[in-house]
Amino acid sequence: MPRGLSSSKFALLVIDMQNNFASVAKPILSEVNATIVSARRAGIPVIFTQHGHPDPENEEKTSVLVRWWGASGSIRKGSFDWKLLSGLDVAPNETVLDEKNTYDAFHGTRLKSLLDERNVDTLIISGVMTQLCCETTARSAFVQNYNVIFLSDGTGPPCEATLKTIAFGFGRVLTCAEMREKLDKTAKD
Amino acid sequence: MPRGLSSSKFALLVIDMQNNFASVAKPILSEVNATIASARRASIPVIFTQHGHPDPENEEKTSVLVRWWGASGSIRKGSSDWKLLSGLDVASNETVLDEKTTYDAFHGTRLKSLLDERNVDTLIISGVMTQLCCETTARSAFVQNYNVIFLSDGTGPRCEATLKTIAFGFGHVLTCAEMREKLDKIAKD
Repeated sequence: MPRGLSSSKFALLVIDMQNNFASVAKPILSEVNATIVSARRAGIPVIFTQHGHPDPENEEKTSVLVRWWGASGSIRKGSFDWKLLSGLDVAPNETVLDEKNTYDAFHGTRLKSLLDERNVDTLIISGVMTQLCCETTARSAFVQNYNVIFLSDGTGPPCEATLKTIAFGFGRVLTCAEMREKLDKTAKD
Repeated sequence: MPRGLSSSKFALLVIDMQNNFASVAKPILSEVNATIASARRASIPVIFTQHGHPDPENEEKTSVLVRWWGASGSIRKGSSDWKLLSGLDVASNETVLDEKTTYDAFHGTRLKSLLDERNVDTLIISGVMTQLCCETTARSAFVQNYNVIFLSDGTGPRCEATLKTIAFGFGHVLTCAEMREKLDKIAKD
């Protein structure tokens, strides 16, 4: 059950910061890493996703996503493109949801159970790609009764239409600096 | 399992064409009604949604959506706002999913089972509101492995950003006239 916002229990989701998306992930990397650090200091769980397909050629038959982008346009699990950016700050005890194979980070993954076992009511969205995985996951979170915070400069590429829609109907849009300010206050308490 | 597009099995979803949304629903009503008629002639199932909350004041505690829009901003089940537009063409044997309580028409409704019992692999999205319920439902359908068709002039309000994003990552954007042309060919076969 979601609580009032004055006692929000946060989790930070870092979506698909992989080599495949380097061109849009690298520009936001330092802001995302700094926010990860603030989250840890505040005792907020940090959860990563790593999108991949074990067998894209065969998955064209069963996966609308692989059919849409084509087998060669889909991230093959284990490939260089699949690996997380080398500069991404991932702690050894932090969960990487490498079972993600569609835009929604909840679909077919452990995400919901991880959030619920920690009584999380507010999901902070970061990573890539803004209008595909980040926005689909934000919408999915809202529908499943999580409050949503969307990091405007912690998601890439920059997409004003997404930020406008999220602010209209789904959640609060904050900069990473604004988020860290909130998290640092939580750390002090 | 989704089939190849050459043998698509369609369903037409008509989302929330209610008095509450009259200002954006009435402008698309004649195109939507004409597409409904074509769907019936082609024996394509037509499924309606009717969004409503039995007890908005109490649901503010449990529903992120009711908290977001406020109890007074949420559609009360049974109210005049809740009713479907009087001009909407609903046949007596067609299903109205009045259990819908959030943006995603799949969430907590019979939609998926209705589609799967008819082996539907392609969902045609119409109705309101384009960037909220229509787009969230389209994204949800894609993630659950349905092909998506989004009707540009069969959804309201007009939202170019939504149409662009759908065309980029989720499905085919067609006008209602283009959709009726395809459906009328099926009816002739």
